Order: sequence, then C-alpha cells, then structure tokens
Amino acid sequence: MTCCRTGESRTGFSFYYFRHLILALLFLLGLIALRLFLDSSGLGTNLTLMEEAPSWRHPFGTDSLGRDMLIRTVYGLMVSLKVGLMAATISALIALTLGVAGAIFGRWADLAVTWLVDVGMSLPHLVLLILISFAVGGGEKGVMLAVALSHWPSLTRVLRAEALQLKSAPYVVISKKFGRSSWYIATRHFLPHLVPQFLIGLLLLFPHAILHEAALSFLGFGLNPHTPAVGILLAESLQHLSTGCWWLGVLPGLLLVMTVKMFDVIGAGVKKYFTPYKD
Amino acid sequence: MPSYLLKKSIHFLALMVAVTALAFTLVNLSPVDPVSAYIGTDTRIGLEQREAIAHRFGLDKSPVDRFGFWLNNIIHGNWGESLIFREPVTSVIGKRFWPSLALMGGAWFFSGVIGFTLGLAAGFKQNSWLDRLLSGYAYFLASTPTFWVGILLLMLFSVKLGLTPICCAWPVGLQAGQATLGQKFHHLLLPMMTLSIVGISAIILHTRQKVIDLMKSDFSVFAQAQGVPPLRFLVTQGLKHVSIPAITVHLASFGELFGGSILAEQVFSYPGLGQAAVMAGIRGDTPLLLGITICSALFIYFGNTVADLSYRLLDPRIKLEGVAIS
Amino acid sequence: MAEYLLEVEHLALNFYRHKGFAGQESLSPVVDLSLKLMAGEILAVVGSSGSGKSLLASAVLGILPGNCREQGLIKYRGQVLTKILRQSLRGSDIRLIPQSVSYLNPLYTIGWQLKQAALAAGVTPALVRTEITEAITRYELPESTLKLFPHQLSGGMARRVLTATATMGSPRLLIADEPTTGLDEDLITESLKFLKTLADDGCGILIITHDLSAVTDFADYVTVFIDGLSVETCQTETVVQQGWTTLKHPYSRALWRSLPVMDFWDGLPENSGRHSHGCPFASRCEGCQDLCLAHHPNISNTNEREYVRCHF
Repeated sequence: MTCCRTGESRTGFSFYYFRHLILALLFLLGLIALRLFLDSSGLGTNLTLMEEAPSWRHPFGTDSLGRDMLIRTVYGLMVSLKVGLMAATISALIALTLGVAGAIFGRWADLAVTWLVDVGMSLPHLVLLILISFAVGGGEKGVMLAVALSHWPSLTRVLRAEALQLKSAPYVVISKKFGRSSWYIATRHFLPHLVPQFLIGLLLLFPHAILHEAALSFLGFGLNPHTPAVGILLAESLQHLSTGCWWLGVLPGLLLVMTVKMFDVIGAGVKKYFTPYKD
Repeated sequence: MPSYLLKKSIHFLALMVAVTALAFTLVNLSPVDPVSAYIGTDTRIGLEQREAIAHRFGLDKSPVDRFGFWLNNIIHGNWGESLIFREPVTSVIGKRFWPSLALMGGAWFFSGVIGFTLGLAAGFKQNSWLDRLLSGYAYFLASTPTFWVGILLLMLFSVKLGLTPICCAWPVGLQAGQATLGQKFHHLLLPMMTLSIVGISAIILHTRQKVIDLMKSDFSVFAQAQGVPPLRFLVTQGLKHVSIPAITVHLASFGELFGGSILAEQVFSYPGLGQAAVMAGIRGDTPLLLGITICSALFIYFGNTVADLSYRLLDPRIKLEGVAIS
Repeated sequence: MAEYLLEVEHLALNFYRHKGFAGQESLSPVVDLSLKLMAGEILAVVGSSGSGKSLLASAVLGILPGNCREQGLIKYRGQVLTKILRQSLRGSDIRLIPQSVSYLNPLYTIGWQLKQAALAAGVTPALVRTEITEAITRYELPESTLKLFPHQLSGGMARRVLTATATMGSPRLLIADEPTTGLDEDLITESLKFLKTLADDGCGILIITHDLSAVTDFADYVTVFIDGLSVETCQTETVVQQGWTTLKHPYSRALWRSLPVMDFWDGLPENSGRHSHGCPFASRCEGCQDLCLAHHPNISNTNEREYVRCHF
C-alpha cells in the first residue's frame, strides 16, 4: 500500500550516475602521471634487452632494438593525444563559427554553410585526411591540420540546428526588433546557449580525432622517428609479426583503445550532466 | 517524380564539381613538386625537359584554367598517368577496383546481415545478458581502430594458427589472372572479417534501439492486446519498421566503409584502391590520388542516393507524400 | 445472483525498477481498484490524467510490462482470469479499442489491419472478407479506406476504424481507452453512440476516460478513480435525475459539480501528491478530519453495485 519515490534528482551531480566519468578521469590522470614519471632512458636502444616478453620490469615488453614498449607507448599516446586534442578543438571552433554564422547571417549564409557541410561529408573521412595531409606536406603538422580541418561537418550540423532553434526563440526575435546588431545577438544570445552543446560536441570529437590521428600515422603520414605516435608503433609491429612478438602490436593498441574509450566515457558523462533528459 | 530526379541530378553535378574543386585545390597546395615527383630520382633530365613536362601538366597556366582543363580531361575519360605505376590512372583504378569492391561488398553484406540479426536479438531481449554482451561489444568496437583489429586477426589466424595468408589478394608470385577463385577468397577472408567486425557495431546499436522503440510503440501494445505474442509481432509486423532505417543507415555508411577498407588494405597489403590511395598520398602521385578521390566521392554518393531512394520506395508515409507534392 | 461479465476486486499494481547495485524502486499507480460490469452495460472509469487508469486495460488484457506485479482478483464471467485464460481471451472475447491512430501499424494499410484483427478474433480466413465488408458498412466507411495508411485517416475516420477493429468476430467485453480524447463534440457523441450500439447488442463496455461530462449520457455506471483508488461507483441515471447530492464521496461530488452544465463550482482541487496512508483526497477535502489522514478508508457498499470509500 505504500508508494515510495526514492529516485534522486537526475540533474544534480551524484557519484552513482557519474562514477564512469570519475574513473575515466582517473585513468587519464594516471596516464599523464606515467608520462611525467617514467624514465625516458628506456626509449634508447639497448641491444642486451632485445625482444623481451612482458615482465614486471617491462610490462609491455621490449622491441627489436631493446626499447621499453610501455615507455614508447605512453610517449606515443601523448603525441596522439596532444595532436588529437588540439585538432578536435580547432575543428569544434570551426563548427561553432559556421553554425552560428549560418543561423544569424540569413538565408544565403545558411545555404553556404549547409553546402560546405555537404561537400565536407561527400568524401570518405580518411580520404579527406590523406588529401589535407598531402596538401600541407605531411609530417606531424600535416596530420594535425588534417584532423583539425576535417572534423567540423557533423558538429556544424548539430550546432546549426541548435542555433536555428534559438533564432526563432521569442527573446531573440524581440532583441532583433529592438534593433540589436547581429554581432550582439550572436555573442549575447547564441553563444551562452550553445556553449554546453559546443562542449559536449568537443568532448565527443576527442575520441574521433585521436583515432584518426592514430590511423593517419599508422598509414605512414607524419612519420616522426624521434617521438613516434602510437599509430607508428602499431605499423612497426606489422613488420615484426613473424617473430612472434605479439606484445608489440597487442599492448600499445589495447592502451590506445582504452584511452579512446575513456574520452568517450567522459564525453557521454558530461553530455548526461548537461542534458539528463536526452537518452 | 521527374522533378525529384532533376533536382537530384543538379545536386549531384554541383556536388561533384565542388568536391573535385576541393580535391584539386588541396593537391595543388602541396609543396610536393609534381614534376620532381614525376621524374623521381632520374638525374639525367635537364631544365628544358622539366619545362616541357610542366607544360604538358599545364603547370604554366593559372590555377582556375588548370582546373577547367583538368576537369574537362576527367569528363572525357583522360584521368592522367599514375606517377608510381607509370600507367593510366583509369587502368590502375580499373585493376584495383574489383578487389576493393569484393572486400567492401563482402564486408558490407556480412556486417549488415549479422549486425542486423544481432541487433534484433539484443533489442528484443533488452537488458538480458545477451543484450549486455552485444551492446558491450558494440560500444567497445566503436572506439577500436580498424587497423588494430586487422593486426590482431593477422596475429591470430595467419601467424599463430596459420589458417589464412599473411598478405595480398592472391598468392605471392602469381598474376591476378592466374589465381583461382578459391585462392582469392582465401586471401579476402581476413580483411573482410576485419571490416565486418568493426562495421557490425554501428548496425547492432542502431537496430537494437529501433527494436526497443518499436516494442514500446502504441501499435505494438495494440498487437499484443489482439493476442499477437511479442516475438510474432516483431517478425510479422515489426521487421519492416526496423529494416527500412537499418538499410538506409547501412547504405549511408559507405564513407566509413571506404575509410575502413583503406586501413584494412594497408594491414593486409591488399592491392585495392585504398592501398593505392595511401601510396599516392605518401609518394606524391597527384593524378592517382585525385582519381581515387573522385571514385570515393562517387561511391559515397551512390550509397546515399540508394539510401534515399530505398527509403522513399519502402516507407509508404514518405512515398505517398512525395507523390502528392510532385 | 446475476453473473457479472467482469469483476475487478482490490486490484493493485506495483512497478519495480532496479536502481544501483542492489536497490529497488517501486511505484504503485493502482492501489485498490474495484469494479463490476454486466453484459449489455457501459461502465465508465473516470479519473484525472496520469492517475494510472489506463493500466486497468492492460491488466485485464494481461499485457502489463514484465516489471509490474499484480495483486487482487479479476474475474471474467465468474471465472478467475489467469494468465493463460487472458492470453486466450484477448483479441477474441476481450477487445481493446485504442485511444488513437498511433495504435495502428503505420506501415500497413487499414485493410491489412482489419484482417489481422479479424484473424486474431478467430474469424475463419474464408469469412474475413465478408466480416471486413460488414464492418466498414456498419461504420459507413468507403471501400477505399481499406487501401489507406493510418496517417491518411481523418479524426472521424480513425475513430470508426479503431472501433471497427474491435468489432470483428464476436466480442463480449470491449475496453475503450479514452474514446473521446482529441475529438470535437460531434465526433465524441458519434464515438460514444457506436459504443452504445455495441452495448445494446449485448457487449459489456468498459470506458476509461478523464472526461466525465462526455460519458454521463451513455454510461450506466460511473466508477470514480483517484490516485490509485476507486472511491465511488454510482448509477448515472440516479445522479442525473436527482442531482449531485446523491453522490457520497466528496471527490465525486467535486468532479461532478465542475461539469459545465451543473451549477459551476471552481473548487476542484489540484492533485497535491501521493499519500502513503490515509485517504488520497484528504488534503483537498473540506470535511477532512484526523481519521482521514491516518487511515485508508475501506469500501462500504450502498447496494450490490454501488459503493463508496469514505470514513463518513
């Protein structure tokens, strides 16, 4: 005969709902700590330690030149993360600019933005990445720019839709009738509302950008022999397949996948925090 | 319907011009000198010959003229000569098209059929252990790079178990024409599995969500109230609801499929378009890179158009409204 | 003693939901619901939106979601409705007339849906065609309706089609869920007239509605439902003839008096949340006393059919 409603408010921050988020943050902090505290001397060649299987001293084993794979992987991941994060941020900023511009500068601007999105989406992502990387002459910079300049279309679409909705909101309509400039409306009315969407979009871009960075460096774009990105490590492992050194390919890849997953979890967690009602 | 086709064709042409212009601009921005890339390491070629080559490439004209000239050539079937393979781009693409098509087609089909079936099961048994397993798999695979899956499969099946070949589309030392169909399939198996394993996750998650929505729908409740058990409802009435969007989504995933095939081909040294694109990009083979870019754009456009058409043909709500408008 | 077509005694429905690692949340939209219906009668269960009354239909049909636990007793023609019995009766003896066109499968034609309904009702395949023709003639639907898809139906046509799906074969008990929602006055009358005709043919009709004014002219009995409890059942004829004072429960009185045709009274209180014990109406009742807050009132029968759940 009792009717109890014990559900706590979904909009508040509760450890239970966001435990994944906290774990993911801890994982990434741990990764950064590893990068800071691991001794970089393990990166040098050591011919007495060639092709050692994983052990306590070398959890990820060593490669054919006796280099510690854990250290190489962590350093490589940091390169990938750095490139991925910077590129995702640039892409998200492009998306924000285009999305808002499309909504406030009238019909033609909107058509231009949708057209740009259509064109950007009519090539396979990886082909576009290769083209841009080729255009800027390859290298780490090439990979960075390629990822940065190719991830905006889908987020632009989301932000444009959001901005278009705002456009017909009563307070924006009234603001316009008061003779406020487009700039004023864009900065005072649109941006504050788009910031959560933008942040979520940015966070959800991270995993994509990191994966694409890894893919491009795996394919051989942006070779940097001094601080190899994790994609390069995996490409190297292909050359050592027949030696039976399984750890060269498996462990760096696993750490990459886990890192990407953590960014995914953080993105999903923040999305849930901002928009608890959505899915 | 005719107005629909007209609109579609105009859109298609405009899009293709825009995409080719984009690709053309990008490759022309490249600091790689096409003449040097063409000559390679041959030091016997003098300045005059270099200028002659530059003239033949049209490098002495303005960028817009060059684009017009190039586009005109493309339309007339003259796609230039590949710098790496020293043969016409069209013939390089022609040779590599079929292996790629077999790879992508097979992966598309299997990931579609298996992913759809698993998605049905996961969605129908929402929150069961099966659902948890499948959704977990799909979420995990969503953040897994294709090439890593390829490496793992290669390690397991080719190196460890020795069941599948380690590279290529046919036995090393043979020409494409000499290999038997069985040999080709044997070589295709692992790359195809790689692409399918990754491609399956999106379709599982999509189908699962559609089934969950379907089973919660009002008309599902009504069917139950009429005595139709849930499973029979799903099979006899619900499949149409779930499969139409699944087909559309799967057709619209041609972009990811092509991208995935580039990575899979690279892992398995599979002589398809993707591998050629990577070679062209790294070694500055502009004509080949542009040629493959156009092919990939056509491929995506084809997927999107068929997706759009199938939706219009299969869903009565859209089809009938479309007719009413035109 | 007359045999009732449908008897619901002290029905309670509890929903359970897992929460956290081992926790469980429960929700009880129906706490104690009782009603009786004879063949040829119309009984309207009236309650505010969101009071859980639509679950009654799901309970009788046996299509409640898996996380719902049912307590109490439901009898159909004197027999206790078991899970298996419900399974064999739904779609044939017991029919749902759904609320809106969204209950029809949007990807199939009306003809197809009527055929499904007929087959579910146990009509032999050879007779399906004639059965459908009869149904569309009965509800004055043009033959072309059969080729239409649900989204192409107008509001009035949709109502007729929905009613038609339930009349295939030989139903005994029809449950009409909100048959008046979203319709204009003429269509409401038409929709209820269809039900009246079916009742005259010998069906028992259970109308679930929030709209008391619409059903007073058609229903034989009204059961008033509030916050999971059925608080009163009365004969509509008596109330219409002798006035609202014959009603015993203060909520029923309030509900009845806010009818536009009666002397208007704007005091119908808003639902102010649920109570774990005590009368659900207590906080809004003019005559509320300590007893009402402390104890959940039991049913006291006025006669075999009518009852009230009030301490006073």
